[in-house]
Amino acid sequence: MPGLGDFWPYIIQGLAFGAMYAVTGTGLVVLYQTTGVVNLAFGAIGCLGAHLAWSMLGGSLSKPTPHAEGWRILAYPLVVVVCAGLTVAYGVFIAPLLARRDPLVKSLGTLGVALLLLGIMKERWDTSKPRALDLPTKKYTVAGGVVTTTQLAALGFAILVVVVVTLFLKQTATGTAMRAIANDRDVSSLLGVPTRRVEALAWLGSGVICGCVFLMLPPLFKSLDQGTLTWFIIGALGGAIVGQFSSLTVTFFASMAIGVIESVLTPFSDSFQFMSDFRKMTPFVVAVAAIMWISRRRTVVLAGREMR
Amino acid sequence: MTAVATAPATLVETPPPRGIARVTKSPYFSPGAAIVVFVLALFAIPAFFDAFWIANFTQMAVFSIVAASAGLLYGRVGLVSLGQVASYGIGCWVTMRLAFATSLPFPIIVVLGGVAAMLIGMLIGLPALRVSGLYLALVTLMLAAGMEIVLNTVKFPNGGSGFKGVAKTLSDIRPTRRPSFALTDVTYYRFLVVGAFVMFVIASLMLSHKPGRAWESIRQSEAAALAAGIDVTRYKLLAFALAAFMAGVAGGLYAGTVPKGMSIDAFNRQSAIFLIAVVIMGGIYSLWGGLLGAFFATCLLKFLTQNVVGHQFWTRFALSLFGFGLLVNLIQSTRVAEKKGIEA
Repeated sequence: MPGLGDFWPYIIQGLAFGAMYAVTGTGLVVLYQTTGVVNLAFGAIGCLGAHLAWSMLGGSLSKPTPHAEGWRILAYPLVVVVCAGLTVAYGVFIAPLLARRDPLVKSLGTLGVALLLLGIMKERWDTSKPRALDLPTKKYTVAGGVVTTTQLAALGFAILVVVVVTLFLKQTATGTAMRAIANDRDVSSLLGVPTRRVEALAWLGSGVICGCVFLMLPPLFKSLDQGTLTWFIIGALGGAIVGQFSSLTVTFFASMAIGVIESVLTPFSDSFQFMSDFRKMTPFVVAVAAIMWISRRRTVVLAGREMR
Repeated sequence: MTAVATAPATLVETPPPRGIARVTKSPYFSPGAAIVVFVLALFAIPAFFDAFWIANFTQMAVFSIVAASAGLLYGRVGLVSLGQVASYGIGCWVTMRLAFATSLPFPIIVVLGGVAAMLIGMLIGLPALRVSGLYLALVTLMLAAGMEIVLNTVKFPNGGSGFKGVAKTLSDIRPTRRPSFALTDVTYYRFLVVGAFVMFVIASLMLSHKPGRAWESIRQSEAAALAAGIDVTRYKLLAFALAAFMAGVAGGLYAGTVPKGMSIDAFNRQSAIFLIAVVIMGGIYSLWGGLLGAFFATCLLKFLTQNVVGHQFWTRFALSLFGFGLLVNLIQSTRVAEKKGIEA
């Protein structure tokens, strides 16, 4: 059985991954609330942005972790620009074509985008060799454990995003418009809310969040593996599902808990091998349990209304 | 004195013409066309194609069963399951384990693999039936992702001992045995075609009888189906069970196509999503869609690669092509629905 001190590095690591889950979950929730789309292409778009930055940094197989020098420092903002641009492009040009469909079909559309981008990445970038995209980082020793600035930045960014987005939705006119659209799109439109513009803003916000997440995620994973990064979204859905795609606070805490649980099961490899082996199932187990709990009462939809 | 009212002659009940009450033609899987395709697949393909194409048609036969199972759930019952690859993987694992551990005939262990996938599918499906739409898709996607981790950890049996059956040294690795009457690639392909045909016939029979009508009713309106006295839970579970069984059998048949060392790639999250793209591109409202989708995903891509543009363009961009196809298909179906004035 591992000692308490053995857990410390894993708790830090778990908080950092939980923070990434939380930020991703926030991006998903805001977009779902406004447009009814669960953006399952979030990971693929972010992964493409990270790969473009890697190439701009002069990435090659002989230099798996390139450094930013001179104008190449622009590679980091490029991740955010690419992610925001692609997300808005989808939101403005393609998403309206599926706007009248149910959330399931809208979300399946984003799966098509994910496959499209993943295919391009697999063709353009050699997947057989390990690659990484690092941020300039420093290491600190806190209570006997090593903490990196990337981990601290991830945690701080998650808290900042949740607070800012919550305040934005509650205190600003655009935020109120977003909540109104989430409540009833047609009535909001009749009342003069510019639905298209507000939805485009939600896509933009989601894209910026995506870019920021994929600035920090490759250094945390220490890899640019396309499959891992693209389908990171499936794990990140766990927190959003617990928050029922509506509560940012619940999404934040659930995501942090998932990240920490997933990470602290690692040191059990000696005594309880299966816990360590199956630790990556944590988001899925939590999400499935949450869905079962949410739907513990059977409902049917009649004339657009849920009946219990 | 009042006249005694007599029933007008027109109200006298007469039995309806037999043709109305009968299902004269199955829209799901026309028997004549199915037999023609079956005979062509069984005899014409091995006669006219070389080993390379036989291997592709073998993959197509396996994939068509999985695609048809997912299409049946989506198109006929209205349940989007992104977790069919989990059943596919379970069927493959159980078949391989039984093939190494027992001397049972291969067709029996394939069926047992399907039954194992069905039981696990039902176990998972029962709670999942409380949800539908987006949440069901997400639950099943999570289950597929979870199963990928399980299979990655447990690994596929390859002739070793113990529960997992994983060999400790490379020299101990053995290929999965094939049935004694289908040891060559051509005979195994024929065996697969027969297996696929049986699966399609079972699905077709279910669709054209009582379960099919109940599923259709559930797809159109669950509330109306409940009001009409249909046991919605039972029929949804039946659909899950049938789809899981079909996918499990496909997994068992797939086990015999891989000579040594089964890879997890066919059962991962990417495959789960690729499968739904294939199913939607093939068409979800008919079992033929599964066959067509599998044809697109295997043979057509290889044909295009060899004959249209070189340098493996089509194979390399397969994911992109199917992603694009999925998107176009969804947009097109929305346009058609809007044109008809029906809210999709």
